[in-house]
Amino acid sequence: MASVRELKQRILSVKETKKITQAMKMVAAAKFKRATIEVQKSRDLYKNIQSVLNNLCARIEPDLIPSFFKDNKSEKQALIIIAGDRGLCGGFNAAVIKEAERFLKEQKKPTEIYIFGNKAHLYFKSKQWEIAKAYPYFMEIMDMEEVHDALIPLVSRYYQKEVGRVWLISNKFKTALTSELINTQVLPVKNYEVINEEKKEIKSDYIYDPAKADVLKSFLEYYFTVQIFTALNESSAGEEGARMTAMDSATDNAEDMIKGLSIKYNQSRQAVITKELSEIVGGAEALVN
Amino acid sequence: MKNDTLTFKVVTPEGTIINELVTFVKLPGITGEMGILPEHSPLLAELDIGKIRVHKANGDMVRFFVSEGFAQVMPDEVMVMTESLERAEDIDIEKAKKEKKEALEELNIEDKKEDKRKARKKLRRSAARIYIHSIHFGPSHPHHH
Repeated sequence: MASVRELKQRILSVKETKKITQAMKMVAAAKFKRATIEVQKSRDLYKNIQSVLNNLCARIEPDLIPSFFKDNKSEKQALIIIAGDRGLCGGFNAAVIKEAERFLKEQKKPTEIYIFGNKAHLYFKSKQWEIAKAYPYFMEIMDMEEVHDALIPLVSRYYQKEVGRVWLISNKFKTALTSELINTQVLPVKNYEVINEEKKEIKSDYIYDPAKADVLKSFLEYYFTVQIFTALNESSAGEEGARMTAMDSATDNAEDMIKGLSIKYNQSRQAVITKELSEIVGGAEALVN
Repeated sequence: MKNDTLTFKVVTPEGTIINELVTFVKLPGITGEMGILPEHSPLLAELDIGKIRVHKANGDMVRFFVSEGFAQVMPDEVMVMTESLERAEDIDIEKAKKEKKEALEELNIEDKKEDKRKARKKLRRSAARIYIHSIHFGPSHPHHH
């Protein structure tokens, strides 16, 4: 059994840890609240842009199908991985990393990767797959323009048919306790095929301003930017939620440990006192006899 | 029956920031301004940095600064998709002037290509903000309140 002093020290150190996890929980809670507001806003934006995209898919005449809708038959493909920048958030980062690795191992075509977030970058930089671009700590500077700029290398490789299919693996925020792991094809944009398979009525094409090809190209790039922007916000909210939950249960665990250690501490202190008493009594009896 | 109003809706990274009934919208298209009345044919347009003018159903006229984007026009709705939209009266004129000065300085320095592109955009945005503010308040009254 540990000595009384050792136990006392352990109790103090667990109490310190509890203070830290408690503080981290408070910080995560504040960040989580902000992130959930951002998620709601970008979901609203994405929903609207998607409705325009779906209108477009239903209306566009097949004389000019933009390359974002077509399979370019490239021998290579790309994977976008979105994970967090920091740890202490339970299995949040591990879930994305694990799924990405499983996916990459399964691919027959060579797959280059584009990484958002420090944690996935740290993991994949020593692995066999080619990292085309990595954006660690991207959330600290994130806005639409930054997302657009970050996607330029991938988009131009797509146009040049150096990559064909592009996939996205990330966490989609659900509640503070849960995120949903997403693995989806983002390029070519699937909506066109889906909508045209079930097309019921023929609507007239839009008037475009300026020329149709230009508007389609820039609108689809914009759609893609909004999609990744939204995915980044989803991931960020999920991460802060996971961290808040992880720090909450760490605080609870510390509390339990303190209780357990305190019982042990009291028991061993009691044992010492009992032992001392019996020694005194024994000594006194020896003197009497 | 012919409709005499349409919905003017604006979506940005801040979500849907405007959703109201109007009678007329003027948009800054890449190839020039375009006026939209109710019952317009479906249109998808790319927007330039510039001014949006809206006539509300109650007769009020509102001017906005828009920083590029797109507009989808349907017979009953104009939806503007942009990174930022500001009411003329909400434009921070001091900030715009500061940004214009900064952008001009950045453009005078010999540097990489990409920086210039950003500086040019910054210059055009700040100049548009100053212009819209001045037509709203008049050039002689740069400080409202």
